[in-house]
Amino acid sequence: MTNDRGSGFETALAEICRRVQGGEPLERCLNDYPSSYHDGLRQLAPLSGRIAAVASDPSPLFRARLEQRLIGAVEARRAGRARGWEGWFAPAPALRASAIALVLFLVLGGSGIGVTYAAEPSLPDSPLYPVKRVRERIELAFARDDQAAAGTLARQAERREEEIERAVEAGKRQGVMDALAREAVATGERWVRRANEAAASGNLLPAMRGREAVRNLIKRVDNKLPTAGPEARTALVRLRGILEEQEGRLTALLRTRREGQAARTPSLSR
Amino acid sequence: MLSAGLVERAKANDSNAFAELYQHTVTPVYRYLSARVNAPEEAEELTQEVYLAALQGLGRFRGGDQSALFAWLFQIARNKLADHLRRRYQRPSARLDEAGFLPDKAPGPEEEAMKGEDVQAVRQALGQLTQDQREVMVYKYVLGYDNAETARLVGRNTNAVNQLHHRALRSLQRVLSSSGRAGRSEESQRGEAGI
Repeated sequence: MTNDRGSGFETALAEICRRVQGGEPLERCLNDYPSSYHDGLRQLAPLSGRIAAVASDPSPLFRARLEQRLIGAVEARRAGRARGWEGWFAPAPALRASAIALVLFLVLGGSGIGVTYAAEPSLPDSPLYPVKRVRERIELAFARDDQAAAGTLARQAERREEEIERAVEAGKRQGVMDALAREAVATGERWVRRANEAAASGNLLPAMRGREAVRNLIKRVDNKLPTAGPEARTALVRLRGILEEQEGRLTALLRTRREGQAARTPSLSR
Repeated sequence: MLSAGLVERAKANDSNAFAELYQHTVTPVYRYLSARVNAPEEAEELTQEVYLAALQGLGRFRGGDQSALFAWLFQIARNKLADHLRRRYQRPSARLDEAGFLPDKAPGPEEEAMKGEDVQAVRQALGQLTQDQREVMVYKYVLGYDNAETARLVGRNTNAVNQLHHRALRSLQRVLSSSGRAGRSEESQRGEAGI
């Protein structure tokens, strides 16, 4: 006789499923329950063993990549909330203002051309590096439209690539690599910001070029990772995670805008 | 177990703390999602969405213990999954294999192919349960939670969980019988158990 109704059967079913999952043979378990339950338990208990097979575990590669990306997103939030990317390694505000004033004087003043030229190959451990940073901001501020801004940002991204390469080859200490990584992230953030502004007015070109630039930076980091020393490696791995996160934001921006455009475009076949 | 103060540190944008929280929870979250979608790429994309949403919403999370954290993450996963399935069914151009109606592309040896087909059949049968029934099945058999923990996660008492469990297995049996796959595992399990 089959009796699979009532809380007694439900409890028995829950128990026997757990026992079968634990490796006990079904037929032996059945002896512990009223015979009126046996048919129902025989039909249902084996199903529980098939359910576990529908799931799988994440691959180690996926786990590692997502972890990197999340670390990048957390770092971006922290830096964005604290002082903005550009202020990441700035000193106290008063000192920073004086430094900017001095650099502006040097850049815009009579001796500016020579200083800015000398600053070009500098790395963050050089006193001339702030000159390069300020000049980049000025270039971007004076870009006349989105296309010009995209060109400026592309040059800046290329500079970051070259700086990373030179720093790794020169075996620079971790502080320098961290500062470089922050500069690369700041460049990426400027891309994302500009891309969002341009996309708001329907221009997707900066987002496309920005994504390309960020991808190139990722490639350059990947190329340098095998030869980087342990200190540089830590900074590069972290940088890679942040760049991937930025690339993801640019991709999402492009996807959203394209879907929006496609939805607004009437179909020719209609 | 989560280390003390981990959630608070993660809320303060400590990347190491968030990474630890992620490492601790990602396998159950991924398994939860992979039980409902066919392609690993879908499960990966959804898992990423869950953690990015968790990062955004962590400041609003109230609760410090592991149980509350998992309940919160599964809630996010459930919402993301619902959005994903809605999008999939709203997209008329989706291919059948994208929409999860066909078995995996590479069948391999015959036995593997049959196993793959059975997995697909069970996954589709799970999709026909009520949400509560499905949650009970997934928590108990995919994630291995006991009755008490399952009850906590679905917000019911253990008697109600036993009832949902029974009804879920009955429905699964009915759906699998109609697709001609109800008896496979009984035979194979008997074989495996030497009965």
